Amino acid sequence: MGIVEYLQYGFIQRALLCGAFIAILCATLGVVLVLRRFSLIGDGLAHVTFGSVALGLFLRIYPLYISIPIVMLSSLGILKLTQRARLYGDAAIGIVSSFGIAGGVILASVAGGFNVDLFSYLFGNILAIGPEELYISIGLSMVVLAVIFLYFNEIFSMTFDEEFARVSGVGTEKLNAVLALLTAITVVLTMSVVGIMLVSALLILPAVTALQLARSFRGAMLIAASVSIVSVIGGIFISLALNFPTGATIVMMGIFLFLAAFALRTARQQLHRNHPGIY
Amino acid sequence: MKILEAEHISFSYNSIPVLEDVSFAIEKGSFVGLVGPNGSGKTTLIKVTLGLAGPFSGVIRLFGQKIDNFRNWSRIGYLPQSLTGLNPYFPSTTREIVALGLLSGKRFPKYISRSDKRDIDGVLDLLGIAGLKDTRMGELSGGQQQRVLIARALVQKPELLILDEPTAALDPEARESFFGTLKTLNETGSTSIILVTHDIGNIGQYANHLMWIDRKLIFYGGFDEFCRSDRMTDLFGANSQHIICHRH
Repeated sequence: MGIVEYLQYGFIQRALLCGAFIAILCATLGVVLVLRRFSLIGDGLAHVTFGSVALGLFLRIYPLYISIPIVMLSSLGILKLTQRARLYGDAAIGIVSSFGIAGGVILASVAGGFNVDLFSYLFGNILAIGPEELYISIGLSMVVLAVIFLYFNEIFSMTFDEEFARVSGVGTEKLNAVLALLTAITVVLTMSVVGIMLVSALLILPAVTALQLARSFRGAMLIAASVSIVSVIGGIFISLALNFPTGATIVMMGIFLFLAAFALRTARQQLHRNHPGIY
Repeated sequence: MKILEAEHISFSYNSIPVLEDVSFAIEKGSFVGLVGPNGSGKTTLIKVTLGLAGPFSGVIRLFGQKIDNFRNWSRIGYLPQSLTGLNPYFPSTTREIVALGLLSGKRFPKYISRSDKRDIDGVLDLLGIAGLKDTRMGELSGGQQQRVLIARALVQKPELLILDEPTAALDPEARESFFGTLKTLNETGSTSIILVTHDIGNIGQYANHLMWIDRKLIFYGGFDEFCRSDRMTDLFGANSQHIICHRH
C-alpha cells in the first residue's frame, strides 16, 4: 500500500496530525529540558503517568483525565523538592518516579494484575487515537506551544543563566513552575504516541540531535522540531509498512537521525581541521 | 541621590555568618571598588543586594525602593562572578546572549526589535567583539566570553552597573581597555559602578570610592580618606595601603 492510500484512512490521518503536534511540543520543550540538565524528568513523570493510568483504569475513569492533574502535581512536587529539600534534580525525580511506579504496581495488583489496557499505555498506540483524544491533544499542544512562544526570550534567558534572568526581572520562580506544568502535560500527551516506556526518548532525542547542528537557540528549536516531525511521521509509515510497533519505530527513527547528525558534525569538524581556510 | 542603601545587613549560610551588620549608602555617580580577602562576603553582599540570596536581616533599597518592591531592573546591569557554570555546548550566538540584557526594559511578550539590534551591535563594537556577533558562545575563548557577558550587562545602558570580578579572564590589554571604558561610562555617562575585584593595585586608578569587606564593613569612603587613614595602615599595613593608593 502506498503513502497516498494510507492517508485515506481516518485512523492514520488522526495519528499523523496528533503525532505532528506532539512532535513539535516534545522538541521545543526537550531543548529546554536537556540544556537545563533535566533530561530525566520525562522518565520520572512517565513513571508517575503509569501510576495515574493504573488509578484511572482502577476507578474506570478515562486515564487522560486522571493523569494530567496527577502528573502536573507531581511535576510541581519535583520542583519543590529541589528547592526546599536541598536535593538535586535527579534525586527529586527518583523519589517522585518511585512513588508513581510503586503506586501503579500496587493498584494493578489490587485490580487483578496487568492487563492489555495497561500494556497499551506502556508502549503507546498512536494508531488507536480516537477523535476525542485527538482534539484534547491538539488543544493542549497549542496551549503549551503558545506559552513557549510568548515567553520564548524569558525561557531562553533562564535556560542560559537563571541568576542573570532574575536580575533582569524575569519571574524565574513562576516560570519554573509553568515549565514544570508544561512538561507534565507534554509527558501525558506523549504517552499516546510512544508509550510510557519511551516518553523520555521523544523529549531527549530531537533535542540532542539539534544540539549537534544548531548555532543558535532559535535554530536549535527549529531543527529539533523538524527532526521530531520526521521521526514521528516517518516512524508511523515505516511501522505500517513493516508491521513494527509504532512507538518503538518512532524512537528508532529518532536514534538514527541523532547518529546521522553526530556523523555530520564530526565530518564538518574534520573538514574544518584539514582545510581551515576553505571551511 | 542614593542609588543603593544597605542598613544593618546580616546573612548566614548554614548558620555560619557571612555578613554581619553591614551598612552603607552609595551615591549616584560613584565608582566603587569592592575589595576584601577570599571568603570575605563580597559576592554574597552583591547577591543579597540584588535579591539573589536570602533570607537576610536588614534593609536593602535600590533607587530608594525596598528590594522586595523593586521592579525597575532595566536600571541595573549585572555581571555574575564566574564563567565556570556556563555550558560550553549551549547553542547561542554572541548577539543572542547580548540581546538578553535588553529583556529587563521590555514589556510582555519581550521581543527583540530591529532597533535593539543596533544597540547590540553598538555595545559589541564598544568592547571590540563586533566581529564575533554570529559566533557560537562555545567557540569563544574565556576572555571573549567574558566580554560578551559584559556586553550583556551594558547593552541596556544601566544607571547602576554591578560587576563581580569582570576582568578575571581578560588579558592585560583587554583589562586596561575595559577599565578605561568603565571610567568613561562613569565620568561622562553618569553610570554608577560597583566593581568586585581582587586587583587592589589597579582599582585605585579608576574607582573614586573603596569598600573593604571582611564579613563586616571595614571601610567605605573615598580613596583620599583611605590613603590618609592611620586606622587603614594599622589594619592592612603600609604596603597594602601604598599599593592601593599609589596610582590614585
